[in-house]
Amino acid sequence: MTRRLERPGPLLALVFALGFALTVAIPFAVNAAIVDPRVHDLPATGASISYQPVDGSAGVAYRAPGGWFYRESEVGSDSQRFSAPGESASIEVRFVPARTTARATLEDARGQDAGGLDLQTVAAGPSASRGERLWAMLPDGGAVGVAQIDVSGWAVVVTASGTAPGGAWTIVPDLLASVTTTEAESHTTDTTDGAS
Amino acid sequence: MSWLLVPLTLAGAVAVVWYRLPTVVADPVVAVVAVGAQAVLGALLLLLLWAIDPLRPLGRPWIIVATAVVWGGGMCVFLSGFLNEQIDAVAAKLSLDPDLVLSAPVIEEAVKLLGVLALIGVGRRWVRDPLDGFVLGAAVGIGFLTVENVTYALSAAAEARDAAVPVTEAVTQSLLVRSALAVGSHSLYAGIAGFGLAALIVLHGRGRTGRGIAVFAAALTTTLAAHLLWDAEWGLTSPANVIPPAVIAVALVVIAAVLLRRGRLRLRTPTPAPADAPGTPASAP
Repeated sequence: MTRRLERPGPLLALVFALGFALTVAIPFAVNAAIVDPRVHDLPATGASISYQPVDGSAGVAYRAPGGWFYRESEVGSDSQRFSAPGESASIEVRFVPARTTARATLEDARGQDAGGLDLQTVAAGPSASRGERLWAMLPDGGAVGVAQIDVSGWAVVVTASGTAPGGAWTIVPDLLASVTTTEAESHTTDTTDGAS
Repeated sequence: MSWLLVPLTLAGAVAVVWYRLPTVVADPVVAVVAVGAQAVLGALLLLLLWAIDPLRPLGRPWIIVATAVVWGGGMCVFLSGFLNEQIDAVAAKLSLDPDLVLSAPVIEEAVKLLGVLALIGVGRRWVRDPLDGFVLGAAVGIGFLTVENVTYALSAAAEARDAAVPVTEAVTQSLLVRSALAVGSHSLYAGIAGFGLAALIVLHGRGRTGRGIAVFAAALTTTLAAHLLWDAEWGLTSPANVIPPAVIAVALVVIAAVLLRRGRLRLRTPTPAPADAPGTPASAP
């Protein structure tokens, strides 16, 4: 018996190619086609979202924008996405390990140098914790920002995309200004504070 | 089909290494230990497969089995990594019971079976009996489970570090538990599904397509059900809860033993093969 591998019929090759393409495409297509029915509106006063490290050290919290909404599938313990009414804009907020500076944290989170960004300092709110807060507009019309609190090993990184509500991304520095530290022991994302 | 299978197999192997490289770089010692342990496990499982293969005397090119292993450990693991996320997202949107993980059985078994199909395509001459599909599927499964075990060990190390618990203990536990359960999991899922696919092709060649479809459907249903039940949230922190997955593993071993025994009986009593189906010495399953 020859040990040479055979050429299969074109039908088998077609079945394989089609099966492979469908196996890859169908999960993406189905996921994209199904809109998450579990949508929750944030109240006008917003909602407090916090992250507490599992080692019990100081965590961070921020205030999500009032009037926006989120889908359950887009909110996790370390990242959350909120959308403006009509989905004209969205912000993604991530809790990330803090680096030596807020700029370094932002670069690490984005995976690219921040040299091309015009980073602006954000003034902290009266009840916010001490730390470094920076934000910048992006060339594509979006915005990014980072808030790094002195006593926490974690920082908040915000990425905004879409059409800025009212023509300006004031929502980004406002969110960064609201960042505070937390001391809770549990590892949770708290969306119960005013979220519906 | 080799023009399609070979690039995809190589691309899968490169992709899984590239995709997992950050975790390997983060824990090089864990990576070396895990790869070494799983290389030994893979070799032992392949040796076991070689020993129980009733078709071994008829010959089979080693390159087919090797490609099966690389397909399982490369393309299957790589694709499952992000396709499972899509199915999980769909299940979450539909509020399906989170304790039942649909993604793993559906995606992983589909990608593994595609590998068996491609291997049958390039090695049709060596598909003389449905057991050839079992061997190819089991080889794909061995590749899958060994590479997946390495990724689980690396994840266990990262999680242990984040939780400030001993990394060595977490990695050892992950490797030991998953290696101990290796025989009754991915290798047999894919082996049984591969048996069904080969039965469909062999029986179709003998003009018994209906029976082939029935065997394929039964094998695929068994595989999907076993994988679904295996991945259900049993709460394995309690020793008593290990019983259900252990029962599944034993059931798969029994099914595989029955298929092998019946295969041996078929091979002892060969029937004349049709003229248009060279190399098919065995009768129907």
